[in-house]
Amino acid sequence: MTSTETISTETTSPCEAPIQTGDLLLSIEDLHAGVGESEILRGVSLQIRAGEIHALMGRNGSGKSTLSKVIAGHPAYTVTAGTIHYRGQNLLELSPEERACSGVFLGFQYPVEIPGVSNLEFLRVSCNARRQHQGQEELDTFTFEDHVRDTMAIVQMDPAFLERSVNEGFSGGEKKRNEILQMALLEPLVAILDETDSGLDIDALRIVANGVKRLARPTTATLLITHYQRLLDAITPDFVHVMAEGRILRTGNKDLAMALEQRGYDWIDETDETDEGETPQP
Amino acid sequence: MIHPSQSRPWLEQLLQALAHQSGQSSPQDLRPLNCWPEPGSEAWRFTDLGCLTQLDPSRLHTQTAAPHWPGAPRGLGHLRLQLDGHGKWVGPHGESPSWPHGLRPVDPIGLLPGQVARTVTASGKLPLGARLNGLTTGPALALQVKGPDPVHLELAIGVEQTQAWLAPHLLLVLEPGAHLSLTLHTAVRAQAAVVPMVEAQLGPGAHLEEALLSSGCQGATFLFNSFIDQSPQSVYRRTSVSWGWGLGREEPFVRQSGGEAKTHLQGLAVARGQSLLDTHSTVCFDGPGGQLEQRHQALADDQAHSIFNGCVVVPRVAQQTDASQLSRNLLMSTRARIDTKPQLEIVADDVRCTHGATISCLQDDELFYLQSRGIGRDQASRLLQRGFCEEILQHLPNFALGWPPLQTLLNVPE
Amino acid sequence: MSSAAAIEALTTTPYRYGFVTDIETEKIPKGLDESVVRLISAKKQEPEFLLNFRLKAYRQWKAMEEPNWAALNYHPIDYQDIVYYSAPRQKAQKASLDEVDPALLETFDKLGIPLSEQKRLSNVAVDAVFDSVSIATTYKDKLAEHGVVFCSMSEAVKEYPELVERYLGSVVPITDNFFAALNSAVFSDGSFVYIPKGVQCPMELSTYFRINSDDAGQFERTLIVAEERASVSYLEGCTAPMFDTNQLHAAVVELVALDNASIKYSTVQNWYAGDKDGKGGIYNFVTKRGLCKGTGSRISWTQVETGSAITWKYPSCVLRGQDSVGEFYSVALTNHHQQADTGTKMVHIGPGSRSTIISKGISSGHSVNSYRGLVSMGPNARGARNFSQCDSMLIGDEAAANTHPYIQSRQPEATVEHEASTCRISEDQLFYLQSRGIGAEVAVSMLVSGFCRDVFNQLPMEFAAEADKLLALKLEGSVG
Repeated sequence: MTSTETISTETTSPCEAPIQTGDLLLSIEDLHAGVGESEILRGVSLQIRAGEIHALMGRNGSGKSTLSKVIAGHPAYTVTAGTIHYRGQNLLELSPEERACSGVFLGFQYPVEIPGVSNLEFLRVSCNARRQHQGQEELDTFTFEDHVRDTMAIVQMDPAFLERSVNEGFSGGEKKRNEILQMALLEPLVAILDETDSGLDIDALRIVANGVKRLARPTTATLLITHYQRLLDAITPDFVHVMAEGRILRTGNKDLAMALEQRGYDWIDETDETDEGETPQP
Repeated sequence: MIHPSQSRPWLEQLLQALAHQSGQSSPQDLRPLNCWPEPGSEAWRFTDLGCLTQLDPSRLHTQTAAPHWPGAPRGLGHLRLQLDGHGKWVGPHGESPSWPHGLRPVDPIGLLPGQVARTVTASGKLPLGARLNGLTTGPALALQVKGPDPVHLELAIGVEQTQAWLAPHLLLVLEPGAHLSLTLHTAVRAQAAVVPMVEAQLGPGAHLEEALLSSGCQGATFLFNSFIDQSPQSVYRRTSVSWGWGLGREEPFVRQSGGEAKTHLQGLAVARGQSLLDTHSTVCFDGPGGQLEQRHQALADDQAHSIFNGCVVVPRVAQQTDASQLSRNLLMSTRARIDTKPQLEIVADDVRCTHGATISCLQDDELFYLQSRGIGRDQASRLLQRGFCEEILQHLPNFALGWPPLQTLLNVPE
Repeated sequence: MSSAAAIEALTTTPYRYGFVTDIETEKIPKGLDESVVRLISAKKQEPEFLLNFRLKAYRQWKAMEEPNWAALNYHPIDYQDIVYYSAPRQKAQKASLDEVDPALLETFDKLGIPLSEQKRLSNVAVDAVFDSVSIATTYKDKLAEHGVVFCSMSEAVKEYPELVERYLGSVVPITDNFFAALNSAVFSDGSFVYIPKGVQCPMELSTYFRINSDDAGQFERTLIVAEERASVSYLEGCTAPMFDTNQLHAAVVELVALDNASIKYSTVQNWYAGDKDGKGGIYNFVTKRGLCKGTGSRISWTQVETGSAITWKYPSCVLRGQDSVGEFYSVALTNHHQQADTGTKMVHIGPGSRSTIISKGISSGHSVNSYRGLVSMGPNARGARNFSQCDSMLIGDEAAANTHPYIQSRQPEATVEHEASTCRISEDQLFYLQSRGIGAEVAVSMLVSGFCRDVFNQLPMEFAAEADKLLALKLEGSVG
């Protein structure tokens, strides 16, 4: 069933061309993917253009996180059919680091702890890898430290976190802020934030949401994966997609998120998923 | 320590006596002499066999005493057996066993004694206790467990006369999905030796739960070897409690022949007086996805000596193994001694294996906490020692907790 | 790139120090008997006590058997097929560095250990040992101003015979083990350090060992004595050329720390490890032991072991002094067919003695990496404490990691805690770094380095970078 699929024959110009608002950045077509024998994504199609904010909602296990990890290139998932193009280039051919360097960023739901590896060192190596890819000069230790301290202000993060090991012993909120800090340093074109709001208290949520808003540009796009309306109260999405059983069942605007909040996901299941009339083309 | 060369004449006498017992004029084979540990042997480095060699081989007998049964017998699916003086397993009133549904004796010819042990150890060389057991024409039970209903088997051995030599052999074949809980009570109150050996084959999905309570006294020797062969999806849960022995050594050897099985080993050794208590365990994983949870707790007081050696072997085929082992030890006296050696041998990269070991006295802050609630230091110490034991005892089935000699363990001497 | 591919790429780095220096050497014929022991002693014009020490050791050694408990697998060593003395031919007395053969200076330059006045390291004094003899020691004069003695063992025997006689063999008795006995009989050179009462050694001391011959064994002997309240930090580095054959290295290191003295001994061991099929490489059988003799004395071993075909080494502390402290921090990285059996012994004798063991083993390829350790609390070690942490990282499913800790206590008021774990490079951690644009090889190297962080933090500043670099060399392949 590929009812929500939008057929796009548009070919985007190569990466080097300057990006205009409305340019197609990420194009996913009929994507099937899973772990081992079990298929989790069963035909996802989604188009994301510069300047847009998308929200992806759905129950636990609907495939939201899988989609984000497949876009980022997690080795545990196998793509069995379909394509992902990023600025006209076949994203699936790239290693995870190549995807990151070319501007695709995934903010993890559960950022992993890496004992022994200093956060500062990690951020510097990562930031320089992206800069090198963009043909920019690498930053030396001192310049980078100034840069990172300035950037930390965006997420109101204490510079003491630079001296610690990557995410080790960080609270849930601190981990998420560290993710947004990385996003700020890497300046991605497509940022995917996987449940960045979950487990955050009101203050932390506000800090994270402000960070995301400040980093959004007319030339970049954001995909917010979330369970709840509350993040969307702070950041208004242009499109809201609802996922279930590995497919996008419905696409709408922010009203769809409101409706979900009020009526629950069962409401989606009850409505006819083939009803294309309600599915606006993004 | 008794040097092996000093004990060689003793061993020859013992072999003569055992051969005589089984109706032979002389031992068929002197190869058993090789079973004696070499000088400097790693497996017996800290374990003195002096207690065993104080027995007089010419006076050995198989007399038993009426065991202490905990409470009334249970209902259906429950069988109690005790060793009579003639090397036979009989009911509490001397009657022949009436086998409950799902449990029946099998012709041991199908599976020779020692066969499972050799598979499990993957070598022809069995440890000393198993060799001595094999040389004794002892009480043997070969049982098949079948069907989904849980079967309880309670075995008891009581000894009150000196120079008893008992070497029961137990072969258990658990068919796929079968469930057996086995309790073995051993109480020895004289200079004697009990040398049991258990061989068990667990079919796919079978459960074997063992509660092994062994209480000895000074001069008494207990050498207990178990060999457990686990098929995938089987569960082996062993809780062993040992105290009082002049020399007590338990050597469980578990092999998960296809991985994917669960092994839980809980051990408590309480060594007081001149006691020497030793546990040498080995767990081998021969397939992926196996699990091991092991916890061994030992307490050494007075002039006692506690030894633990736990070996976990994870070869290349055993990816996704999850094994943890903990050796906790309380050293209560300046004349007591503890040796512990947890070991990991791993050739598989996708595994989670951990071990830990601690040796210390009771924690001052715990003692202080109790004292600050008005409990005297000695009493607080007894409470904490008891708590230390309870951590393992809580894994015993309820009916095993009612075993009268267990009280001697829990009543910490003043 | 997957982690497997990254690791494959990482582990094919050539050994950088595998060149041979073409230099005229003086060698005695192969083989060992009493006359060889006498010959070595005569060549070094040794006093009688030392000849007797050697002869006694030789006679003991002949009666001993090579130990086999470490379950290491190697070709039997033919002790008659080894040259026991090999020295570059040069003027007997070298008044200054200018008289040292330029080929030797160049060799050490190439190894990154410049010895000449102009180029030498600014805050490290170096004793350079080439095959059996010490070539040069830098900064001797500056050290002498502080009363610090840092010279070759041969020189110490001549200049300070009474100190050598008092302490040589006092920590590692000649009969301690097979290899220590062999060393005691035939040792040729090594370093001697003496720090007088109350002196903090003003700079790092370092000995650099270079094996050059393919048929000579290296048997160096190091002795470090720190008097009351003295302190010193010492580093040992080593390399060897690539040969198809195996060379034997059987060193003995003895440390003595008196009241409130402190000795920090760091090793970055990078002997040639053999090729990827396990051919060639150094057999490294080393006995290292420190005696915390005085109250409040402290001995700390830090080792980064990356080389050798066989490593058999247990730097230990005998904690005799009250409140003395022993430390062991170790990283052992094995690859291809390397075998490492290494760990430590912490023997607590004195009350209040404390020890810490942090061991990180990384095994890849077909290698075997074992931790073997002993923690022993003696009857008088009241209030003593030990904490041990032994972690192994496995890379690939053909490498082995073993942990054999022996823990013994006879003192209720002593506390021993041991923890061990085994892990591999986590796919999630690797993916996290990759998803931030970091290439797989760099990511693996960062993760391994992070795994070893607790140990690297113990290295002196000057050498921490070197250790990181070495690990990167061993692991990183083309990525620099």
